[in-house]
Amino acid sequence: MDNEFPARIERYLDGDLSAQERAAFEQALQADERLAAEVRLHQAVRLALKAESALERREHLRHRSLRLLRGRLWWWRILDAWEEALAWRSAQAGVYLPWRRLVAVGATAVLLLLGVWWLLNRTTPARPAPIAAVDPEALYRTYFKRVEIHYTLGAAAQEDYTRAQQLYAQGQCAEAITLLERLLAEPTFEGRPSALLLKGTCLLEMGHPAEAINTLQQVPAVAPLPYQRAEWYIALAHLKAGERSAAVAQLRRIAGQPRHLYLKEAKALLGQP
Amino acid sequence: MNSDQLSEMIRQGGSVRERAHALILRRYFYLVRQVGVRKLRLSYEEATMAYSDALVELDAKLRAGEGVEDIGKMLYTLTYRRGVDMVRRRTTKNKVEPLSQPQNVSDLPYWLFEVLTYSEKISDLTAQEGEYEEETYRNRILACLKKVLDGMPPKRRALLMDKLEGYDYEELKQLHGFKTERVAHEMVSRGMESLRNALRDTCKQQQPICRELCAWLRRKRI
Repeated sequence: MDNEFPARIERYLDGDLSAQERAAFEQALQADERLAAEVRLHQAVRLALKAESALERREHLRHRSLRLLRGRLWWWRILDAWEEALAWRSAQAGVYLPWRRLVAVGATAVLLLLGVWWLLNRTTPARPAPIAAVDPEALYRTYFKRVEIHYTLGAAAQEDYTRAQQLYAQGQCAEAITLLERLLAEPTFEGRPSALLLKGTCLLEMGHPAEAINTLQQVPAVAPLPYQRAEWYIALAHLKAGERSAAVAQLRRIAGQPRHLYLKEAKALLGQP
Repeated sequence: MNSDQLSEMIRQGGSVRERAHALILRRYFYLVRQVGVRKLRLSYEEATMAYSDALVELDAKLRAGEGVEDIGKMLYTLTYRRGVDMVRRRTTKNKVEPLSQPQNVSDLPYWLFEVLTYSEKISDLTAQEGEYEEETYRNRILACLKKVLDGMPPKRRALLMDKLEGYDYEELKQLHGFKTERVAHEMVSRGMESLRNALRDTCKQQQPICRELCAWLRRKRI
């Protein structure tokens, strides 16, 4: 038996021979007893090595498996406890509970409830501000009120100014304007801010928003109360004139002043909280 | 990766086989609980050992050329069988193999022995006419093989084992620190030859424990 045979036997046992080579080798095996004994020797040695290797692999896989078990055991124990509880309850009730189905149904119900809750509680889109949604003329009619007159002026002009205020209060704007213009023309007249306010609101009431704006813009800022009122009526005048954007700009100016007399009304029109 | 791909990786051997083992181990680990614990009422540790044994058996079957359609189904069956072994061992009050003690060839379980003899086409190894039962023959043969292996240096033994595990000479060169593949090839050839010589010498010396194995070696027909 030459040196080639061990390699050839190994190739035969590894299944690396071609079909033709294999057939020839098996034929030789049948005929040659020494070759057959040699093949058995190879097989026994390979068996010994494979057995040793298999045991090492078994040991290695056991260790890896136990390591993997340590990572999963906590979750499996939770599942065991849950199954046990469900099984105990079903045993107590004397009925069989298909717990997997129950879990599936329960989970579905929870998801459905969450979905419904989300639908109901999602942020609703903000309603458009009244000034954007409602006709400006309608808004003007809603918000316009004549100025409430609470104070009187000095004695000299008292009669004329009081008369003008009375005419204003009675709604006789044309007569009130005539009287107010005469008073405003006097350089010594001290009630200019209020007079301008009254004149401006009268013009607005009479349907002359542009002239009203002109007059109201003359109210000086040094008189805070008439000035703030004038600002409000300017906004209303813009609404009367159909000038929505100008009205919005004026209202924002008012809404930006925390102590403004008409802060609440301005915010309401702008749709602000 | 499907069953076919994983099976092919195992048959290929070497480091590819290692990767396949790692994939299969994780993918089907649920069988530990499903089969071992819930079905057979084993402890988690016992079920894990049954599962790892099933993996070893699956590996041996695939390497022996057995066809496996579905690795998951096969593992289920093998885990169940190995789990039943555990239950039997428990009921007969035999000790479950401790992991801490090193295992040797004589401790090879019967199911692994069967797969290995099948792979080497020596299923008739324990079919002997004589006074002993098959299990005894198996134990004696394994004891003889262990004796032969013990005579070989551990490093040389590890090299031969890796070669049979499917590592090619390039991988063997890297694993065992050889200079070239040719050197690795030479060392494997020499190692196998020395093991064969050791077995021949054991038979010539007529060691009692090797009587059955040597008788089988002398048989006229395969």
